[in-house]
Amino acid sequence: MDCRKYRVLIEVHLESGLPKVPLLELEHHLNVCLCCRRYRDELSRLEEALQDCPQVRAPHGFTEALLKKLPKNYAKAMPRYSYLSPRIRVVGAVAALVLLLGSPLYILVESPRPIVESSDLNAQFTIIDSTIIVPEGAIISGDIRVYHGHLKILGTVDGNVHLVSSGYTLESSGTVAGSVDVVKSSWLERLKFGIDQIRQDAKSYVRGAWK
Amino acid sequence: MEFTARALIKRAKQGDTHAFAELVETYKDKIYSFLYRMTGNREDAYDLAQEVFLRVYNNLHAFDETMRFSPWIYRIAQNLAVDHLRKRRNLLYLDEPTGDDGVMSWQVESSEPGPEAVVEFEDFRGSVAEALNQLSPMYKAVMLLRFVQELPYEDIARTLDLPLTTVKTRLYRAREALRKNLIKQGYFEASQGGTKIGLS
Repeated sequence: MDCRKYRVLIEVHLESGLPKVPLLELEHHLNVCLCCRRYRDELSRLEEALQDCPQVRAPHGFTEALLKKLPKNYAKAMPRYSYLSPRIRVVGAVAALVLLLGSPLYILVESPRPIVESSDLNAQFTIIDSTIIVPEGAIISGDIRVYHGHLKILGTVDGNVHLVSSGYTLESSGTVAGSVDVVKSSWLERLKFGIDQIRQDAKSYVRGAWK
Repeated sequence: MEFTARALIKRAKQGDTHAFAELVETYKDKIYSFLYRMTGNREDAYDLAQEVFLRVYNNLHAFDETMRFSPWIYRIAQNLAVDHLRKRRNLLYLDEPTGDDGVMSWQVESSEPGPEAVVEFEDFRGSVAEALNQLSPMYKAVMLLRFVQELPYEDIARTLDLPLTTVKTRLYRAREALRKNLIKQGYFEASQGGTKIGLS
C-alpha cells in the first residue's frame, strides 16, 4: 500500500473534493492506515484553524481619513479628458481646428503680402511696401505675374503681365510688349496662396535652423 | 461583490466621490485584515491600507473594467506589504539567517511559543496564526489569500502574477511549513511528517 499516493489524494480532497471512486478508495485506505488518517485529521484541523482566522476590521474612521487625503478637487485628480463633458470636447476640437487653419484663413481677411514671379530669371525689381517696380531702363524678357500688389512699370516688359488681385501703373517710360490681364483671385486661390506662403516660410525657417 | 465593485469603479472614474467611498467601505476590512496578517502590526496595516486605497484612487483610470477587481487591489496590497516587510527586515534583522525551506526565522509582535501539549482549539488557532506569522511573505501571502481572504486559485495566481501550478506548489509548501512548525510545538505528531511517510 503506497501512502504517498493517498497523501496526495487527501490534499486534493481537502482542496477541491474528490470524485466518488477515488474518494471511496481513499476512505477504504483511511480505515486501514492510521498514519494517513492522522495526516488527514491534521490537515483538516489546520485548514479549519486557518479559515477561522478572524477578519480584523479596519479601525473606525478609516474611510473618512482616507477621503481627506484625496486631492481636494476630486475631478482634477482624474485624467484630464474623462471629466470633460462631450460639449466641451467638441468646442475644444473646433478651437484647435480654427487655430490650425487660422493662419491661412487670415489671408482671406487681411491683405496678403505681394508676390512677383517672372519667367525671366535675371529679372530685377524694386519692391517698396506692396509696390513692385520695374526700374527705368530695365528689360524683363519674359512674363510677369503679380499677386496682391501694385505693379509700377518704368522699364520694358518683353512679355505679358498677369495681375492677380493687383493693380498696375504704366509710366511714360515703361512699355509692355505683350498683353496685360487683371484677374481677381477667388477666396480659394487666396487660401491656396496663404498655405503656400506658410509652407515656404516654414521651409526657410527650417533651413535657417539647420544652418 | 465583483459586480458591485465594477459599477462603483465606473462611477468613481467619472469623478463620483461617493462611489469611491463606497468602494473603500466594501474592501477596507479585507485589505486591512490582509495587511494586518502580513505585517502583524496594526499601525503598519493601517498606513499600508490607506496607501493601497490612495493608489487605487490614483490609478483608477488605468484599471481595466473587464478584469476582476479583487486580484488588482490585493496585488497592490501584496506589493506594498512585501516592500514594507523587506524594508523592515533590512532595518531590524540585517544579518538574520533565512531558514532552509524558505521559512524566515523573524518574528513579528513575537509572543512566547505556544503551550506544549494542551490541545485546545483556541490555543491551537493561536499557534496556527503564530506559525503563519513566521512564514516568509511569499508563503504567507498565498496562504492568507487562500484561507483568510478565500480567493479562488485563479485570482491568487493573478494577484501574485504567478502560474497556477506555482500557486499550488507554494500552498503545499506553506502548509508543510506550518505543519512542521506545529509538530515542533507539539500539536502534531512528528511521525506524521510529510517527509516521513509511514508505511502500513
